[in-house]
Amino acid sequence: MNRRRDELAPPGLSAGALTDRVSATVLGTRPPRAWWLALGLATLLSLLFLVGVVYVLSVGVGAFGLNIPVAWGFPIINTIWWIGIAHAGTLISAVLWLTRQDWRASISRSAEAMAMFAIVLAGSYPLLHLGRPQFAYFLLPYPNLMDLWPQWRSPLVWDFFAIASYLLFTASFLFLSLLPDLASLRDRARHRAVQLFYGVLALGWRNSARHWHRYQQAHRVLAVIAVPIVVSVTGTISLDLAVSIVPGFHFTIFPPYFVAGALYSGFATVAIIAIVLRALFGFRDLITRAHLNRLGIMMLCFVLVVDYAYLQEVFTAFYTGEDFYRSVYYDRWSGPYAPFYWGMILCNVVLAQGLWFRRLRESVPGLLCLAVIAEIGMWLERFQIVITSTHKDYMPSAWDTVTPSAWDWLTYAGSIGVFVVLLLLFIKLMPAISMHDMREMLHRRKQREADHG
Amino acid sequence: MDERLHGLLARFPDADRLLAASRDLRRRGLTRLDAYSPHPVEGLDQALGLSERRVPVIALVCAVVAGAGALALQVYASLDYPFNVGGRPVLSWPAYSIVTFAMTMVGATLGAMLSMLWLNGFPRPYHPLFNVAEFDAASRDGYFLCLEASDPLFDAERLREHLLQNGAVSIREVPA
Repeated sequence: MNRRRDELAPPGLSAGALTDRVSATVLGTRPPRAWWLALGLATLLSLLFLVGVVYVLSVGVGAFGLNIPVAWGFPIINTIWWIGIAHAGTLISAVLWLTRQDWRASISRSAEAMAMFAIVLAGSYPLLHLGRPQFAYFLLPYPNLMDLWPQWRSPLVWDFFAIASYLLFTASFLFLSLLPDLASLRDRARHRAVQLFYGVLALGWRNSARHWHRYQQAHRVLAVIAVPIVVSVTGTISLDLAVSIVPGFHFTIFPPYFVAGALYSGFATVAIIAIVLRALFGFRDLITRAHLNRLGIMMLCFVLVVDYAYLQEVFTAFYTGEDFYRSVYYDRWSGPYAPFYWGMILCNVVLAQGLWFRRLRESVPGLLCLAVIAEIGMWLERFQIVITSTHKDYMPSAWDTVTPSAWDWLTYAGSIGVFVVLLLLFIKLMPAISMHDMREMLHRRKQREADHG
Repeated sequence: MDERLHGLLARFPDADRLLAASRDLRRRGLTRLDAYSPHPVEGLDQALGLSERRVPVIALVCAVVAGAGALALQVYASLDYPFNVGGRPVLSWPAYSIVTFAMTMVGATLGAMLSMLWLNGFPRPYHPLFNVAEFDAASRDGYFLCLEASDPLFDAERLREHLLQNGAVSIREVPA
C-alpha cells in the first residue's frame, strides 16, 4: 500500500502546532461564514420540530399517521433510526480505542458528540409517542399509593432502561474524553470569561501523571463496558418487535441484524460529519482520505451483514412453512408499501456495493453520496419493518394501511435540524478533534519512527 | 524561604527525558513528585510508583451492587404484586436480565467516572502550579516534573543539580 496516500496526519505535525490549530477553531475570533449559514438554515429546520412537538402535544398522537393495527408509525421508526446512528460513535470511541486503531483519534470526538445528540433525539420520540408524556415517569419503579410496579417482563420497560443507561454512558464518556481538552482550552484562552468557562468545566485538570493514571483506568473501564452496550441497546430495542408474535417482527435474527444496521447508518453519519468538518475548518490534513477510506470500509462490513440478514429473513419466512410469514413477504414485495421495500433494496443492497471501490471511498463526493444513500436506506428499512409487519398480520378483518401525515414528515425533518444545530454549536464551543488523543497518536508515531530508524 | 515554596518545576524537552528523570529521582528516594505531560506517557506511572487500582475496583463494586440491586428490585416487585400473564412463572428471571444488565452498566459507568474525579481531587479550582505561566504548556507540548517542597528529602540546591543532569531545559520555583 502506498504509504504517502495512507497518511493519517501531516508528516511534520507537532503536538504544539496541532493543539494551537484545534483550539483556534474554538477560541479564534470568528467562525467561518459557512458555519453561520449552516446554523441559520438548521435553526429554521429545527423550528419545524418545535412546531411539530407543540402541535402533537396539544392535539394528541392522532396528529401522526397512526391507526390500529399500525400503532407505531414514525415515532418508533425514528427512534430506531436515531439510536442506531448513535452506536457508531460508541464503537469508534471505545472499541476502536481498545483495538488501538490510530485512525480513530481525529474523528472520535465528533463521533461521540454525534452519539450524544442522536440519543437525545431517539429518546424524545417515545416520549412524544406516549400521548401523555407527563406520565413518562410511570416507567420508573417508584413508591406509589396504588402499589403498582412497572411490568418487568415488558420490552417497553427494557427499552426505557436501555436508552436511559445508554444516554448516561454516552454523556459520561463524552465528558471524560473532553476533560483534558477543556484544560487545554483553559490554558490557551486569553479572555478572563473564556478562561473561567473552560476552567470551571475542566475541574482543575493538570495533566499530572496521577490524573492520567486514573483517567486511563476509568477510560478503560468505560471502553470495555461499551462493547456490550454497543451490541445490547439496539438489540434491546429490536426485542420490542421480536418478542411479539407478529409475523415480520418475530425473528430471532433481529438483535444482531439491528445492530449491524445501526452501525452501518452510524458510520455513514460519521463520514458525513467528517466531510463537513474538513470543509468547514480546513481539517483536510487531519481528517484525511485515509480516514474516509476506513469509514467506508466499516460501512461496507456492516452493510454486508445487513444484506445477509435480509436474505436470512426471507429464507426463514419461507422455511417456516407458515402462510402468515410468507404473506408478509408477498405483501412487502408487491403490497402498498412495496416502493419502500424496493427502495431499501436499491439503497442497502445495490448502491451500497459502491463501497467496494477504494476510489469511491476516498473521493469526497463519492463517500458523501454513499453515506446519504446509507441513511436513506436504513430509514426505509426501519420503515418497512415497523409499518409493513403490523399493517397486515393475521386476521384480514384487522388489516389496514396507514399514510404518514404532514406532521410525521415535519417532526422528522425538524429533528434532523435539531441534530445539526446541536452539532454545530458543539463544534464551535468544544474542540471538534480530540487534542489529547491526537497528541498521543503523534507521540506513538514519533516513537515508531525512532524505532525504525 | 522554603516554607513559602510549593516545589521546583522542571521542564524537559521530550517524554523520554521526563521518564528517565522521574525514574532517577524516584530512585534517589524522593516520594512527593509528580510528572505532567500533554498525553499519557507509557511507563510514567510505574516510574513514579503509581500502582493503585482503586478506579476499576470501585467500578466493579458499583456495577455488582447496581446490578444486584436491580435484580432484587424486580424480584421484590414480582412478589409484592404477583402478576399472572398466561400462567408464566411469577419469577420469570430471563425477562429480568435486560434491566439488570442496563443497571450494571450504569453502576460501572458512574463508579468509574465518579471515582476518577473523586480520587483526583476534582473539582479543584486552585493549585499553586497554575501560578506558573510556563505550566500552560503542559496541555500543549511541555513535559514537566514537579518536586514538591513537602518531601522530607527536599533540598532545592541539590535537586536542581539532579534535574539539570537529567536534561531539564528550565527550572522554576513554584510559590506556595
